[in-house]
Amino acid sequence: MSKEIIQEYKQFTTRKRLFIWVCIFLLLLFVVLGLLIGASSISLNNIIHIFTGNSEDINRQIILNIRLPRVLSAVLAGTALSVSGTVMQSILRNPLGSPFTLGISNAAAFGAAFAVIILGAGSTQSNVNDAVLINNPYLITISAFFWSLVSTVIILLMARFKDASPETMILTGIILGSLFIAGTTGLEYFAEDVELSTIVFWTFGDLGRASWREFYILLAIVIPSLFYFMSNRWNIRSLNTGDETANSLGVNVEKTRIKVMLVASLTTAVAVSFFGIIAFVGLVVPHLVRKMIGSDERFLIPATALFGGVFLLASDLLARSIIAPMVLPVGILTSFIGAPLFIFLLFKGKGKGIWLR
Amino acid sequence: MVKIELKNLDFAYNGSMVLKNISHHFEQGKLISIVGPNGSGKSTILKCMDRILQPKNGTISFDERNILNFHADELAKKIAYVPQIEGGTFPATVFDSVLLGRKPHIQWSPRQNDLEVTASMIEKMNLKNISLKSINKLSGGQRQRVFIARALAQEPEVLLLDEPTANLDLKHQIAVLKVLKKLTEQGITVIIAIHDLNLALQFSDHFVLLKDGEVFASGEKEIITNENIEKLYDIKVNIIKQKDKIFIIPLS
Ligand SMILES: Nc1ncnc2c1ncn2[C@@H]1O[C@H](COP(=O)(O)OP(=O)(O)OP(=O)(O)O)[C@@H](O)[C@H]1O
Ligand SMILES: [Mg+2]
Repeated sequence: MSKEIIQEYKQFTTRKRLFIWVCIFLLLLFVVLGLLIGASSISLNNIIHIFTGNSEDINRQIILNIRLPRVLSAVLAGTALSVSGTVMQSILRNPLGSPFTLGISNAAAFGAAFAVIILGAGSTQSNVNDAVLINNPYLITISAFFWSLVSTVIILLMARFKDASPETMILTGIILGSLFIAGTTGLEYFAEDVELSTIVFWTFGDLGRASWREFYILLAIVIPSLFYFMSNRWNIRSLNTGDETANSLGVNVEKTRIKVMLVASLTTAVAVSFFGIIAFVGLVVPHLVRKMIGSDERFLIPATALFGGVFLLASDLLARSIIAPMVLPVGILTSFIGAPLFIFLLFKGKGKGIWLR
Repeated sequence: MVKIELKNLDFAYNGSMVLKNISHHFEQGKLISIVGPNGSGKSTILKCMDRILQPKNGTISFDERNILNFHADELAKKIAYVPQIEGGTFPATVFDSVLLGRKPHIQWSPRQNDLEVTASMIEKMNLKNISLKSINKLSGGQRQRVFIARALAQEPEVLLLDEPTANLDLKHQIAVLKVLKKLTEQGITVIIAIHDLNLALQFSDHFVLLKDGEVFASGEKEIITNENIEKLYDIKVNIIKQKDKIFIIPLS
């Protein structure tokens, strides 16, 4: 009798494993597509040659130094945003609890504005071809990252002094977010035209800024944090049942929540500081995947990691080709896809909550 | 043998005293009912015993060892707790919810043994037909049985259950208490907070009457007297003895 129950359950988890394999396949497919698609047409044969032989032509430069880092960074950024969103939803027990709704992106945008206007990272000279010249992109990135951390630290300090309840964290996050928007608006008021456009330009999430350097830094952050989330998946799952139950299952509730929160914020902050605001990925991908395979974090975490990568990569491909030869910043596209998708999920799951199987 | 001992326990939520100088010991292998009016501190005392709440003064020991000295996972293997109300946001299936009870025993992935224990608890709680249903689609009583099954899957030495029969139908009230009673025969200590005195009388070995955060009386069936009940709840009752069974009927 109990054999049957186990049998059924195993079939059930096999379907989830299958989903993960499908994601892996899609990921490989889109990586190849990502290398193929672009302004100059390079054939698959050509690409294989580039990777195997050493053809010293311009195509090699395009593939190895432009398309490949961009494609791989897209995957990692998508993974970072989606996984952080997933774990935050679970530990805060809130479908809206993601690093973005908690003000990380607003803090990063403020950091960018701060760098441009106060630290003078944006150029004041413009030329005919390109109105926006960023003198020192790394200063902007560093400032954006710094301010994201400031907002995370404030949330965690609040948790420390008041309590580490989901409510405290979410409310602090939302209020901080608005405060940073106010701060950005304040800075913009004193900005000159070119500075203003620099800030706005930065705000658009754009993977065009990806080079190998960004990729390696992302890799160094995303892989360990994925491992961290995976090794905490039973704790994260327990937290979703409520603090008391989690406690009785042997979870150190406050410590776990604060640590997971910190790691998720860090991961998001890195992606946002490099590429600007890529909205909705961290919110919609977790919900989509929850809808497809359910909310068991054992499978949900790897599945959102993969699917998030596919999602952002596919979005970026679309952004690169939809009005080619012009390239749309991917952040604009994810907003246009993400917002309706979220509303769709909301309506489709009406009465059951959007996050259910 | 004493399993859990409370010594001079004081507990306060933001200054207001809820448990006052409680000393009591819970014997191993007994089914103990904590009884008392709403707000008397039943849930609070259970939460203190599972280290969910930290008492202001006093100590709680498990097998003569202060529970503060247990590692979190270690304590979770010894004591399981089912709250009065539980709300998760992202519901899992029945099987996954019960499997979560194996968490203290699982290193990285569940093993065959974990799946087997899970399945057998699902059977015990009569949930096998809905083992892959999402728990937010269950009735209140079915859900309560899931949470009890999860606590059973922890394979603890002490089970703390906060009103385990509150949402259950007549059949399942009896079924659940029978399962709990059977556990005590294996040496497991079961402590429940319960309002249904008749049910408690039928199954419990021991009673703790709690009033305003103080142990007002404790002992076996004999302490359930007209006088004690009247003092406890401020109502008059009729106590009927039929063979070896006792029934309580409130008089309006
Ligand atoms: N989180 C809390 N913060 C402040 N006071 C609380 C809290 N939880 C319970 N109390 C108070 O503590 C007292 C005891 O509550 P407790 O939940 O232990 O009662 P109970 O005996 O379980 O009642 P019931 O039969 O209604 O479940 C009550 O007066 C209640 O108002
Ligand atoms: Mg209670």
